[in-house]
Order: sequence, then C-alpha cells, then structure tokens
Amino acid sequence: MTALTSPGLTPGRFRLAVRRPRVPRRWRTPLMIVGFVIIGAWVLVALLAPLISPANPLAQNAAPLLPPSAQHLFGTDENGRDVLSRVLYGARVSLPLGVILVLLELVIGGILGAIAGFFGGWVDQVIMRFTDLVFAFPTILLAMVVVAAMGPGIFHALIAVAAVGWPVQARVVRSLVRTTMQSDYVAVSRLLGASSVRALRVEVVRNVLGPVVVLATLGVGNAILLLSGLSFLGLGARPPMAEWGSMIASGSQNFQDWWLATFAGLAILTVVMGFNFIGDALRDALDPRSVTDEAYGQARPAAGEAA
Amino acid sequence: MTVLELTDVEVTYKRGDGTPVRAVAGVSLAVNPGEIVGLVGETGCGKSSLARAACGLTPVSGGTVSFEGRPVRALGARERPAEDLGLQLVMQNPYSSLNPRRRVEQQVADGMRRAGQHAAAGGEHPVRVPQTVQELLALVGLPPETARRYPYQLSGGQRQRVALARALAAQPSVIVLDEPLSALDVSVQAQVANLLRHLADELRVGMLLISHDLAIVHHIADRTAVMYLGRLVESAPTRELWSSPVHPYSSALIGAIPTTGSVGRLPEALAGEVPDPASPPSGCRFHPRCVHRMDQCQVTEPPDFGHGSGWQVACWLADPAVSAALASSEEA
Amino acid sequence: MSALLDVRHLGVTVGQQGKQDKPVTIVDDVSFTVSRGEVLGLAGESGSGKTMTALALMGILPPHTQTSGTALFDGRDDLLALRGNALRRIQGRRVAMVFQDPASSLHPMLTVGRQLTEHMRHHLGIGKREARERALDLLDQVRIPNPAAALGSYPHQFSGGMRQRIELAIALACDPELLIADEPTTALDVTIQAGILRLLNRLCTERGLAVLLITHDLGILSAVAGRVLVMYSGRVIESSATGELMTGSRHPYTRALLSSVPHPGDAQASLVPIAGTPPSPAGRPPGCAFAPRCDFAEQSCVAEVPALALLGDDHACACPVDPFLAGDRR
Repeated sequence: MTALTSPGLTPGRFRLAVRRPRVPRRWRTPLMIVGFVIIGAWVLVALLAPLISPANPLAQNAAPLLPPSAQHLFGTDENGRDVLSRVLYGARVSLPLGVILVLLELVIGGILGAIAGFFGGWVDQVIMRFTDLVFAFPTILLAMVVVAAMGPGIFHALIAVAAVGWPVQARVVRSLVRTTMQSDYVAVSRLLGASSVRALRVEVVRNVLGPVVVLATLGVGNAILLLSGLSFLGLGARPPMAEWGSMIASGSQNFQDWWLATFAGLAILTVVMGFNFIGDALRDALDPRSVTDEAYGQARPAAGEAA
Repeated sequence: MTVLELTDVEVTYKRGDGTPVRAVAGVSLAVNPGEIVGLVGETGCGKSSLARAACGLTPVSGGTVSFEGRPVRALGARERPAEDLGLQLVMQNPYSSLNPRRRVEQQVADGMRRAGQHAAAGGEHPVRVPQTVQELLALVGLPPETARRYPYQLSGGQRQRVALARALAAQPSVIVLDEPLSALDVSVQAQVANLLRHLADELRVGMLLISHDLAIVHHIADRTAVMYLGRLVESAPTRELWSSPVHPYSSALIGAIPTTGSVGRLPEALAGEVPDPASPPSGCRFHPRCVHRMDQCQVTEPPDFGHGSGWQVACWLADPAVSAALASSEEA
Repeated sequence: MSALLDVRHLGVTVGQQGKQDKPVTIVDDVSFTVSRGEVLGLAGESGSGKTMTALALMGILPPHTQTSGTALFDGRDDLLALRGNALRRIQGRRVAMVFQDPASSLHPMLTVGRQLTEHMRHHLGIGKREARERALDLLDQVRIPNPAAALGSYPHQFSGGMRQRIELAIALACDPELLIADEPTTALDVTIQAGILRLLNRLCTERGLAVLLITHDLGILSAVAGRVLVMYSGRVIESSATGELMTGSRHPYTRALLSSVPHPGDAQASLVPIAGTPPSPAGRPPGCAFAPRCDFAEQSCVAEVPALALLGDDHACACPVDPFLAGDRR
C-alpha cells in the first residue's frame, strides 16, 4: 500500500520550532555548577576525612580552647580536640543522615501520596486527613518525646523527624499524581486502551519524578539543618560525637572562643547552600521551555532541518 | 450503517454548590463512515460535554451512545474493551493533550498497542491505516524527524497533527474532534482542516467535528448540526444550512459572522445572553432571544420537524401546521 | 483635517541576551495615519509585529526593546519619545488600549466599580460621586445590564463578552481620542463579537473616536474598518481602503491570506493554505520576507526589501513583481 500523504504539504518544507539542544544550556547554569562544586567538595571531605584530617576528632590531645594556629587551623575545643578534624568528620554524620532522612520521608510520604492521588475519593480523603494530623505535630516536641523514651542519639532524632516530616512529600506527590492523572494526555491514553495502572506507570511517573527530585534536593539541606538543630538542643548527637550542631551548642556557651561555633556553623551554611543551589537549578532546568523566548524571536537556526 | 450514533443523549453534572446542570439535554445525531459531521455552538451550549460523552470518556446520564451498533461503556477503572478502540478523540488543546515528557514516537505508538491486536483479530476497517510511526507521521504531513522529538519542540499545529496521528494509529472508524482548530493560528487552521477532509475521504474515517467556528466547519463538514443550550436546534447538509437556515438561532449565528465578501456590513448581533444551563427557559430554550417568537414558543418545547431529506429543525416555525396557519392568516 | 496619529518609520528591536549581540528587528519601518472617527485596521498573523506596534505606541513595550521613528499624536507629542508624567498624561487618558483576553487584563480582586472609578479619578481628578455616575453611564453605554449591580461585582462574575465590554468601558472612561484595540474579540463567540463590533462602530460615529483595530481576522476588518494595513514579518506590505483590499488586493501575501480563510457563502470550494511558515524575526531572509513562500518571487524580490509603492488612490503595495496588476477578482 502506498503511503498516503496529505495534499499541498511537502514534509521537506517543514521547519521544526527548535533546534535539538546538545547539552541543554539550562543545565549548565552557574547556579548548578556552584552547587555541585560545593556539594562535591563536601562529599569528598566526608569520604576522605580519615585521610585528610590532621587529628583524631575524638582525641583530646591538645590544650583546650586554643585559638586557630598553624598547628590547629581551626583551634581546639573545650576538651582539647582539634576543631578542624571535628568539622571534617562532621560531614560524615550530617551528609549521609540528611540524605537518609529525606529518602525515608520520600518513601513514606511518596507512597501514601501516590495512593491518595491515584485512587482519589475516600481513600484520598482518609490519607490526607491523616497527613494533616501528622503534619500538625510539632517536630521538636516529638523529638523530645522520642528522646525521653529511647534516650538521646542522632539516630533516634532521625526517626523522630522522619515520623513527622513525611507529610510535605505526601502532599506534593499526591497533588502531582492527581493533576497528571486528570490531565488530557492521560485521558487520551486511557481511550487508546491503557489501564489506569499503565497510565500511572507510563505517563504519570515521569512527570512526577522531576518535581520530587527537586523537592528532595532542597529537602536535604533542610534535613541537615533540622538534625543539627536537634543536636544543638541536646536531643540528637551526643558527645563526644563530632557533629556540627552539637559543636555549635557547646560553642555558644562562650562566644569569646569564637572558633568553637563559627566553623561548624559555616560548614552547615555552605552545605545547605550547596543543596539549595542544586535544587533551585534543577527546578529551573526541569521547567518546560518558556514560550516567551519565541515571541522575541531568539535565534534558533534550524540546524539540519529543511527550511 | 452508521458508525457512531447518539440517541437522546443527556449529560448532567453537579456544580460546586450541588445544583445539577443538564449540559446536554437530549441530543441525537449519527455519523456515517467517511462523513464529517460538524457540530457548532457557542460557549455554554454543552458541546464539550457532548464530545466527552460521545467518545466514551465520560458516562451519559440518559440516552445511549452506540459505536458500530454496540452501546459504548464509558471509561471506568478497567481497561477499555478492545472493540471500543475504534472510537477515538482529538482534543482542543495541543499543549496539554501530549505528555511533555514522552517522545512523539512513543505517544503515537500508544495507539497501535492494543488496537493493532484487535484489528489483526478481524476488526473491520475498510482501509488499512498504516501501522508504523513513520507512515503515520507522513500521513498527517509531518517529517520523519518529528518522531524523536518532544512536544515542546513542536508548534501548535504540529502537535495537533501528532494528536491526530496518535488517534489514527488505533485504526479508528470514527474520531470525535473537540475544537481541534481553535488553539491554532489561522494560517495553520486551513492546513489542518484540509488534512481532516483528506483523511475522512481517503481512509473512510467518520468524524464528529465540534467547533464554535461555523465558517471553517462549513468548508469541510458534510452535515452540520447547530447546538444551543444543550439541544440541537437544526441539523442539515452543510451547504443547505448555510444558504437557507430555518432556525432563527442558525440564521443569527450565520448572520453574525463577518465575511470579507461583504465589506462595510456590520454583523448582526443577537440580543441577550446565553441563559444558565441549570435553569433553562420554559418552552423553546431560545425563545427569550428570538425575533420570531410566538406564543406557543414560551410554553412548549418544539420537537424536531423534518424539512427535507436529512434536515431537522427544532422550531415551531418549521411545523407545517404553523406555517399553514401563518399562510392562511396572511391571505385573510 | 490633520491626522490624530501620524506614525512615521516606526521600528522596534529587541536587544539580545546571551551570545548573539545583534538586536532583532520585530517591527520595521511602519508608517500610517489615523484620523478622528476612523477605524484603521492592522491585519496580520501572529508574529507579524502588529501587537508590538501597538505596545510601542502605548509605551508599554517589554524590557530590552528599543524603538525608532516617530508617532506624532495630535500634531504635538511624539508618543515614542514621551516619558514619565508626560507619557502618563496621554496614556490611558487620550490614548487607551483594549487587550485580547479580558480575563487577564482585569484585576480579579477589585470590583468593576473600583477599577472604573479609580482610573477616572486618577486621570480626571474628579470626586467619588461624580466618578460613580460616570461609571454608571459608561456601563450603560457598553450595554452592561443592571449597571448599578455591576459596579459592585467582580470580573469573574461576568461572561467573557461582558468582561470585554467592561474593559472597553474602562478604556473609554477618560474619553480618549484614540483607542487601540488588540484582538478585542478573538476570544469571544461570534454573536458576542458582533455586538462588540457594533458598539465600536457606534462609538466611532457618535463620539468621533479613532480606532486602531489590530486583528488577524480580515472579516472583522471588512465589517468595520475603513482602511486596512497588512503586516508581514514586521513590515507593512500593503495598505488600502477596505473594499479595495478584499476584492482587488495586489500583494501575493494578501491574496494568499484571503484564500486561506473561509468565506462561507462564496463559490470558492476549498481553503488554500499558505505553504511554509513565517520567518522568525531573527531569521528573516534578505529582501522581501515573503519571497520564500511566494509563488511569484523573482530575483528582484530577494535582492532588496521592496518599498511600498503607491498604486494610485490610496492603495500602496510592497511588491515589485505586482502579479495581480490585471486586478482580477479573487
């Protein structure tokens, strides 16, 4: 059978709207690069801490409260431990735990949210009201309860936060799943014979993944802040563990010895900033191409496409 | 043998505050193979609700939709039955009817997945629609490179063609098109309209073309039905409807279109606004805005009167008894 | 009578960000006049530069744009050169604009009355009560039923056609001399559109309002415009009295455009779409922008940009080939 072609239309005369991007420019933004550099550096620090740190972070070898010097670049703390080493080792605590916390919340919240969004109706209502309930729980309070019950410790703090932190992800995932399941393209997909489950798998997941990744990335920064905050309050990491939050806590007791809290604080600052940069850059990158570009006629020579 | 038949279809939905709204209040029409039936109406007439019910996307609250002689069950939790896959839909908005994160070829291939099996198992179709993505794209006038593209790389007209190719991949015997041209540039509308006519002729696919643009419909539809506030007021062969519309709303609609052929002629305006479909006027739904209103129009809703072959008018003016009475009163 | 608006050699360019340094021309050497009581149609498809022309005249171009040429209003002020208070005295007061989508150009959180009166009080310096009375009168003129109730209502409570009328009322609030209407009826049903067009016509005849009506719909221009300018890729390629344009156009683009839109009731059997697509402003070909798509293009068309030649009797056309010289009916 000969191919039927449409009258008056020569396929060759078509020019598509946009040239195919090589490495999409929107991924190579300064924000993304800086973010990756920062986080990349900290990941290396976390991995290589035993190799690059000048001293054992737990060893009380030196005189206490020494200001920064050639021997102790960040000084020593009230127990004579090298602050620089403690800051470097702190990365081994905060980074993995931050990521684990976000993943935990994502799993719990994501699954609940997806179920709610997919089924709608009373299932949605029940899950969402339960989510609201958990959401209303003050995080710090619960952490205190857990600590009172199980004793302090960074892992206990992690569990406490995950237990009340997942509603944010649940809401986002539920909203995304719901909107995409109700979209025109899913409707057409169903008319073409796909089942709801197939539609979820093939059409919805890929649309949900992007925003979820952005949320997770931004969430890591938040998680680290939260865990450090709990440690600061004495509900998380216990001494002598080298953890940034507890370092700030002990450092806040005497501000003259500024090096005790400052470097740990800077560490938290840069790590959270790095994750936020990546998250923001990801969000921009995953946005569909803006239509206003074309209204201004930004140059897009149709490379390879016929005029 | 009609391929799509709507009989007294009603579609009711509940508004936010709970009031039931009969968006479609009893519509009957039929589409034959290879025929384009145009359904025109303005905002609030219920044509979109009708479109969604006609293709089986949403259930009807009354009446029946038959596809190839069998009643159509609306989409539910389960997969759509294979024998209904020949009834397809093209939507208005080409920016939302394609998944932004899947390539064109994947989306066009969707149509082939199950329908191909059905066709192979002996589903009837007079002309075999090509079953490769490349051939389907060529059929709608898109170059082969389009297959690997993402929707954001295509213009509105190109996306609409992709949507058409996707629907064709399912070997449809009838396609419901809900305002397929409205979101497109005027220059592109002509191209896509011609494409539709070509496909209907060559592939013998029936089309229910829903639009507010009477002028474009006039160019490609074999028959045209005019919808107002949930009911069809007139349906006739397109040329005849255009040259001598019977229902006052049809003439108002036609008279309101400014054409380049009549310079300096102000288009006719229609008094009043479309009433709320939740509380339609008594009797004939159009009577508050009708210049030919008679007493009985306010009281009783007119049935369909035949006006010649394939011509129905839901207006008391078309009632032979009425026109006879008018004639005799004139003579008197 | 001197023209109310005299536009000469208007140009709009967009400055490029990123790697490309050359500014892109969106509007190129556009000239026209609008007289009181006249409706001038500006016809073109999307991307023809017609909207940018309007925005330039109103002084509300997007950032990173530059204008050239002059737009003399009432023989005195150059709209393109005005800034600050001088611009505000004219913009909204003597020259008003109506946009395509009333859903997005009316403030959703303010009542209709507030949007009308605030505008008036700012420009005319009148008191609350007088403003309210004027507002009622305006709503009545644009045929909004029950104006008193309408004043206290919000835009979302009205239908699309009503909203467009309200927008017109706001535009007319300060009794402007020139109204720029950019696709004012595109989003509306055809019967509603008919009402708006009649209203515009009435305003022109009763108030002597000058209207620059921008639209892609040649039918609308047939109905209400006295003269029409056709734009393609930022340039005016033909201008003439409306009747002359519809039946005796001389530019291949105008002809092609007329053949590609439906003319119900005409003998013409099918639509003939124009092959290809308009060039992007950055990718405009040398010479005539329409040449790549033109059935009659010759060497002279590509060599240089065709100038608008006067074909006698107020009909100008920018086509050196002039294939329709015989002037046969479309």
